[in-house]
Amino acid sequence: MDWLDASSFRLVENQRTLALTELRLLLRDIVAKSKANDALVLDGQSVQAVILGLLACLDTGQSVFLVRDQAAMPLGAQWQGNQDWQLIAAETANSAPTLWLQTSGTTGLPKWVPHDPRRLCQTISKGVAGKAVWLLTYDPASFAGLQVILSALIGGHTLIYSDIRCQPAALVELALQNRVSHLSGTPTFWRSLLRAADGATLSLQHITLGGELADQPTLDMLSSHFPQARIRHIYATTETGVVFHVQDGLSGFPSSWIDTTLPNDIHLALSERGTLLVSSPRMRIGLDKTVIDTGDVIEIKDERAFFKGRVDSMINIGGQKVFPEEIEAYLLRLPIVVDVRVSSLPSPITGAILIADILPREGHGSAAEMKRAIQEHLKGLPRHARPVLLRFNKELPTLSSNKKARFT
Amino acid sequence: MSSTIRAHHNMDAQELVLSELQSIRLSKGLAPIHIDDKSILLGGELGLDSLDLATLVVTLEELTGMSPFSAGFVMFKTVGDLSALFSKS
Repeated sequence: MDWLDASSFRLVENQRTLALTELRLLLRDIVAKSKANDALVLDGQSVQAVILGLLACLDTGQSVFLVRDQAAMPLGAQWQGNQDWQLIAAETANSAPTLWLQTSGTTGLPKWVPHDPRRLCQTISKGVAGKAVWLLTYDPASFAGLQVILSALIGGHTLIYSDIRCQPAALVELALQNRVSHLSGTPTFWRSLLRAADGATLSLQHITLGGELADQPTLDMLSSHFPQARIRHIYATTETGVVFHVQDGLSGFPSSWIDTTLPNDIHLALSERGTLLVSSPRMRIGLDKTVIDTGDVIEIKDERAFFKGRVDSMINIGGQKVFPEEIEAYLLRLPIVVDVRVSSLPSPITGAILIADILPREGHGSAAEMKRAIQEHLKGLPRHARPVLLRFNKELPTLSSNKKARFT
Repeated sequence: MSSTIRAHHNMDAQELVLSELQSIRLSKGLAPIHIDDKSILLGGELGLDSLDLATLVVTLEELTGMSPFSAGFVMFKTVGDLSALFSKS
């Protein structure tokens, strides 16, 4: 029970405030119905349920499944109507309580991944003196969502969450009302928030970027909008959890971190194909590997290691390799580009060709003028890396994880 | 009757190809030249390389909503060949 600061934690979910004591009462009712070896299946769409799951794991030693997508329920679980929790007979072989999380299912059906709840807590620091107000922008039952929930729980802070988290304008309003001080989101999320905030003065003190490549233009925009805030970007993998934080305001990380052991005992190296290898003493359970290949391609320039993109998102244009993430970061340097997704179309001549779907900043000239400005900017790239088709959009498709949807 | 409609569509596609070719040349800093059905797309006097040609094809696909290569590669060499691929049959 001493793993968290129970007295001062508050959850404000869809405007309803709950203290930890109330959540513990809810859990007691569930535990009373449960038999030995029963695992608890909970609806991961609500923060309340995710916290119940964490308490069940850490305080009552139960294994817990947090459902993000009902298309892939754990074996033996089936919900009817508005049901949002269920007890199922768990495999007895697994004696330590396990927290099962679903992957976001970007490609195909989501998979169930086991985590050791105590290990998840180990990497969380209690945080600063004085109470923080966190706003959760991730799926509550995602790995990133859990980091935020645990940070608020362990530090005894206030945690704000609302189902409207995918509507940036409403989220800005929520952040203003609750004087949110801590906010973590993907770079895609931050760009849409900055656009929605449009001059509103959010009292953010701690800004975290994670889940996607943190590009320099987005970092710069955040530091000029929130000069008082501490800004960091996080690099994490499902297998190892948080690998490192970068706090110097620059994209990428110092290349001196490669081939050394970091203070958190994580070791970084590069594979022959240029991807980042991570070995950690805290690999997630059920993984009998000591090193994982992240699939993130690294480029070293001036003692800085930059993420170029995912090895599986690489596009071959007439024999030349291009990472869409790299082109996106380049296009984001133009102030008229609010956000952009670069993808490929098949080409009978070069195999593939790049196209860019652009979210333009309004009031900066006609579409034709903006197109010309973007084409001029693209001349700074090698020819094969320039998107040949520029399409303007009112919004870009994103996933519920607030990451850019990638498909071709 | 149907042959005149076809001829009309053919002309549309050809005009489109010609104007897109001139604008690609313009973006490369090349002066407008005479282009006709027999002009060779790659390696001829048009001064295009394979990236330009790929750009031309994807632009035509976007403008016409047609994708003549979706079922596999079709050989084409001249402006006329390409116009024919983007003409409604």
